[in-house]
Amino acid sequence: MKKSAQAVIIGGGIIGCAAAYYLAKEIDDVILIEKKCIAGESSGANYGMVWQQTRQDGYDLAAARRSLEIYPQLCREVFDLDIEYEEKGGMTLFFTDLQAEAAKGYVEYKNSLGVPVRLLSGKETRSLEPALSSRVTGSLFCAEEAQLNPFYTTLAFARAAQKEGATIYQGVEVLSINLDRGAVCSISTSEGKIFTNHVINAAGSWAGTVGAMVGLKVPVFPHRLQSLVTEQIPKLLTRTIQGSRIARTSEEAAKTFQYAYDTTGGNRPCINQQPPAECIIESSLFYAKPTVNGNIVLGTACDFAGYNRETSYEALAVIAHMAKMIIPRLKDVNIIRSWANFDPWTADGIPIVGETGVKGFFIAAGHGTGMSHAPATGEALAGLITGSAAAIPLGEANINRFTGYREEC
Amino acid sequence: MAEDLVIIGSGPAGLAAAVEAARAGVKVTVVDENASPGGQLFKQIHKFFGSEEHQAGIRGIDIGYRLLEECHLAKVKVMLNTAAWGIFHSSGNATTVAIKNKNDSLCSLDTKVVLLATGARENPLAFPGWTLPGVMGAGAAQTLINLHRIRPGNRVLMIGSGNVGLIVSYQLKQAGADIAAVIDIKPEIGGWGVHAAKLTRTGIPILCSHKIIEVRGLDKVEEAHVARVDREAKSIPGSEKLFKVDTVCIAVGLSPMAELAWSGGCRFAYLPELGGHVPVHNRSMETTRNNIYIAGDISGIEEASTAMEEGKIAGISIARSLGLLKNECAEELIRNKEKNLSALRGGPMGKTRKLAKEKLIRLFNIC
Repeated sequence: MKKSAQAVIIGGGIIGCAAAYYLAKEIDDVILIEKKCIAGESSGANYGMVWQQTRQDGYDLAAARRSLEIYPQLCREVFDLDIEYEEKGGMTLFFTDLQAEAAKGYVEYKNSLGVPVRLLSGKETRSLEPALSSRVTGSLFCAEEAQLNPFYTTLAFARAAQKEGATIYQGVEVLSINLDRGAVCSISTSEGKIFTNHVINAAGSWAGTVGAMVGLKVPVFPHRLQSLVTEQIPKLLTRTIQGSRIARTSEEAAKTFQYAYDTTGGNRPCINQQPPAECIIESSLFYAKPTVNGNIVLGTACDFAGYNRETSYEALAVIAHMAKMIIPRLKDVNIIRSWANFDPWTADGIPIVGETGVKGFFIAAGHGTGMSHAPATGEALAGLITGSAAAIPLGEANINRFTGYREEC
Repeated sequence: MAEDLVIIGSGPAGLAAAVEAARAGVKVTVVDENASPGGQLFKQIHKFFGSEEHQAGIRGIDIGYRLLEECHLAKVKVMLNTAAWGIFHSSGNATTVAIKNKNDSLCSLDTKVVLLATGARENPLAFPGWTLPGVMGAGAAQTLINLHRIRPGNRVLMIGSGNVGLIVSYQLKQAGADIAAVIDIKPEIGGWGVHAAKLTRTGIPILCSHKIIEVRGLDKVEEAHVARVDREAKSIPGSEKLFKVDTVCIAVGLSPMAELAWSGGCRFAYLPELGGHVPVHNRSMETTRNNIYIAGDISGIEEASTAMEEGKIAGISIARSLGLLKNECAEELIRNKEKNLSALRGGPMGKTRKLAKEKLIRLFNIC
């Protein structure tokens, strides 16, 4: 194992691999350390959505839009494998007239932010996706959205990073991060020590564990998502769809498209905030992603169960029922697999990216939106570390947005 | 909590376990995805071997009827057309068995204990032409002739000379089909001499050191090309033979059907002697997950006789764990069944399996 590096990235998910690629383009001696294997956790188990309609105004949306810009270029010029990137547009379904009413205001708001989302009637929705049930009363459609194969994309970034000279160690665990007068000076791993002045915590749902190595509280928690995978079938869906929660009162309907964290009155998330304890499986969003191979990945049911990777009967049954209700023809389709993964969760739904109170220690974690953000995050982080101009400002994503952060330092 | 014990699979292991447990007072429900119970027993029209204790000399089909009668007397509930698709650990000590019934609706059974007696599946063998209609597993051919009384074809090539390949070839012959040949890539016949002798007496050639090269046909099997192989299993040029057949049966071993044990979080070991990945278990047939037991081919490929003995051990152990059998009493019964198992695992072929099964139990204790 190498004895020194200019920068060490911890975590071989999409964020770590993208960061490794962009950093290796700028500097020599970039090392990526992964405890298991590339895309072995959440980056290999998600719906591969590169969406902007659901992103919050500010950093979240800017990162998604920048990524939508970069991906086609990466596919053309950088990646040496087909990541199955397809700009087919994204669709959010709703089921009641009250939601259709709420959607109007949402579309206006999104258009004002430059997101080209349109309101479709039930009939228009089914003309694009004929397999959808008549219970779908309309949808929000954004043509400038894409889907990809998350596993291949992570691998493509890892290979691109290696081509730029980065070294990737898999099956290596970080044991401690060592400081000298408050600044990062080395890390100790299960395979030896590496001297470095820059460490990037891209450990996803395990970012808290890595943060604790330098005495920082990093409020990222494992959000368990469960999914079903169908057998390969003739084409049923063209694009990835998201189903909103069914709203029956105008109050519920108003919340249908509310993805943003409520920051009114200077309300900020707190560093000590724990994820909600109650089970939220019943109110999870629905996802259906048609893969290039003809399988459909169906989700989701979310809850917080620590690092328990088991699937549950209740969750899988909820997904199956939603799938049957929204896409009736799935009734006779076999399920070949089910899985649970840990989607990194933060209190305000925005990842934590940027420098910290510990000199040389950076964070790029908490992405429930890894596929939508990775290229932009990697690019911006590399800019931050090498001092080049940033395509998107990172300020809003910094960990210091959490109240109580300074006391921790 | 609704159930004491849910048994998945109504083959020899599952039914034998159900009888033992129910006799001790356990409330038992057996689920099976098939339309009739008995698993492979009702396909087995040949007589069993072993001692009298193992019902030697009795045909599999009659053992099946006997077990069903015993289940009926012991008030075992059998749910047919019901597929189990998942094992989940619920809160508390309960286990949830996810099932799909004949109305296609999802439901679940909560139970204190689960016994997986899911059996095995036939291994596939891929070669040019293997997806042509007429290429099938030997077990599938056996189901067609013995259960449904349908002859799959008129002229058959059998790949594999293990017991399944030999017995099914003989039964296909009895059903009126011609067997062109039984081939095996290995230099010796895999199955028992007594089954091989029955075949050769009828004039069916058993070609060892031969392998399938290709199956050809327009829209179904028309001919099979085989060749002799050298020590490295490479075909020898010039040794090719052509058989005009309409059916090719594949009998190249079985693999434990252990998906539900994976889904239940049981620890596995890879033991090729037992058919591949098998859940690790202890003397009581309990896996590394509390309250999940296994018996029969899922715990390593053997025969119906050993499956029934393992099923009985599981049934007795489960009754004990539920407090319905005293320990000394259960111990004596189990020791008795272990003696039977040991006798059944005699001979050179049995010995390999016996050692592998012992290893599986040792692995349980190392965890």
